[in-house]
Amino acid sequence: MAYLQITDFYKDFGDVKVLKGVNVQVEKGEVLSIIGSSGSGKTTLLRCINFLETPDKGSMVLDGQELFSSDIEKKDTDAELREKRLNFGLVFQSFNLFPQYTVVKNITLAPTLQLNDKIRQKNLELKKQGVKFFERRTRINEYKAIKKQEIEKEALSLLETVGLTDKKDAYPCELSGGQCQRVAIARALALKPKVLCFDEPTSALDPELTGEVLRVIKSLKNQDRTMIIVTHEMGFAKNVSDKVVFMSEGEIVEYGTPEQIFTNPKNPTLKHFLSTVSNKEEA
Amino acid sequence: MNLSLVLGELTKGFGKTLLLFAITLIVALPLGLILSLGARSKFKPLKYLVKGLIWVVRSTPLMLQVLFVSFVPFYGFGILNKDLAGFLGVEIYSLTFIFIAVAFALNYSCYFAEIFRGGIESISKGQYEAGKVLGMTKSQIFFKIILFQVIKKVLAPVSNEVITLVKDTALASVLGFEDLFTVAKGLVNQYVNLAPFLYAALFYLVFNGVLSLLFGYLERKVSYYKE
Ligand SMILES: Nc1ncnc2c1ncn2[C@@H]1O[C@H](COP(=O)(O)OP(=O)(O)O)[C@@H](O)[C@H]1O
Ligand SMILES: [Mg+2]
Repeated sequence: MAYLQITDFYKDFGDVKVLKGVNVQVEKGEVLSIIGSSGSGKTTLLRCINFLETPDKGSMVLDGQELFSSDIEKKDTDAELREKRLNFGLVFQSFNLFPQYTVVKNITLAPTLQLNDKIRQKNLELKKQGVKFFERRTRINEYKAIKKQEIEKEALSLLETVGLTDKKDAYPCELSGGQCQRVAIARALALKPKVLCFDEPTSALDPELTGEVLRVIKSLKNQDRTMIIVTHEMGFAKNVSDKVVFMSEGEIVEYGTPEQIFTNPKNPTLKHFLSTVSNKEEA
Repeated sequence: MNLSLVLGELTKGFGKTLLLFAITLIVALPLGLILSLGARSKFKPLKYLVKGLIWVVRSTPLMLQVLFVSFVPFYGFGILNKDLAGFLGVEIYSLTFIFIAVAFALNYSCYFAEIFRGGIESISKGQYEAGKVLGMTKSQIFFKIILFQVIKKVLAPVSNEVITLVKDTALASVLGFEDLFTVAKGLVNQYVNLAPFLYAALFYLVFNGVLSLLFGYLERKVSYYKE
């Protein structure tokens, strides 16, 4: 079985059938691009993978662990859902940075909140072991200081990866779209997701800013990250992907290597789609 | 007319006004936040109950609400004010203040609730989803991401309400509460001289001036970032 195996995802919104039996597999360290015209269900698929939507039917296995199956009646608790979500990262088209926090705080916020939860647990454990209040406080404060430093250090190294070390104390409103998206990528990476998903990461950007974001994503490929990228940048998809899927009307119509998809498309809808996007690029 | 005596009386009245003002805000700001969340609840009965309350409170005069609250113990439950005061262990006089404060707090929490609801609804869905995919709990998302952005959004309308509240405290005179306005009115009658009204106006003016400065400071404080 593949590292990430999505089987038979179905999703309706009222009368609209958005996903109609989608199967996707991604191997560890592989980059999968999803292409397809707008409205074909790409975003919905990513949202299902990230537990922002619940598929009506289907199952998902990651790294041998079943994360979702519509056959199981029991609903996940909020805590279980959060745990499962953390297997994945999602970079949004519109960045969704937290405007009130600096760049570095945007990155450290979620890890710090996780740390606080862990500290609360640790405190309870120590209490159970009968460790006295002051002793407990000293130990916890030491632990907290070390961990906080680690989180900070990790954030700075991620900022280096995305080339924004000098912007660490800036606020999102002071950054260009391309810089915002690079912060969003660093923020997602800070939680060490097993699979990082991108939903049209450059669609909201001015054309001259797409390059810097695509370069960062490409550099992540060289670190062997497993990634799923929804994109309209055909040149980029061809270049960076190990596998490409073409989606149309809620179904996966063709799946293959970039050569198979771009040089040797078989499906007529895909052929038509490719001709329209390349026409657009020429225009 | 003895000026220092008059000013002394007015200052005492202003103290009462200030007390009503402070208690109203201390109760109504958090209660307004809770009501705004109730008005957005997925649990329909709660949602419509809160919305109904907000509608009634915002559609009727505050002065009527003050009277209404003061009538509730007797006409609603047949309890004499004397007995209620005894039960609560307070003077009749304090009971009057409690009635007024309850009506004011309820009234203002409904106005604040509407302001907060507007603020909360103006935050994009993307902010919640970004928090979710980062593994945050619902309360972490609300308190660490949403709340501050809402506060920034609602600061200006809240400051308007607060300034209105300063002036609304004069409505407490309907139950004979000795706030600034009631004291001024008494002095005007007593001395057959309009000057106490003028002095009272100065009190209101200076107090609202201070509040305007304070809110201006807060607004500058949260304007370190743009959307
Ligand atoms: N929350 C929703 N409610 C109703 N319809 C939705 C919702 N989300 C998506 N859709 C519909 O599902 C279809 C696919 O949307 P989407 O997954 O965003 O496609 P894509 O990302 O490929 O453009 C569209 O027709 C869209 O209108
Ligand atoms: Mg989309």
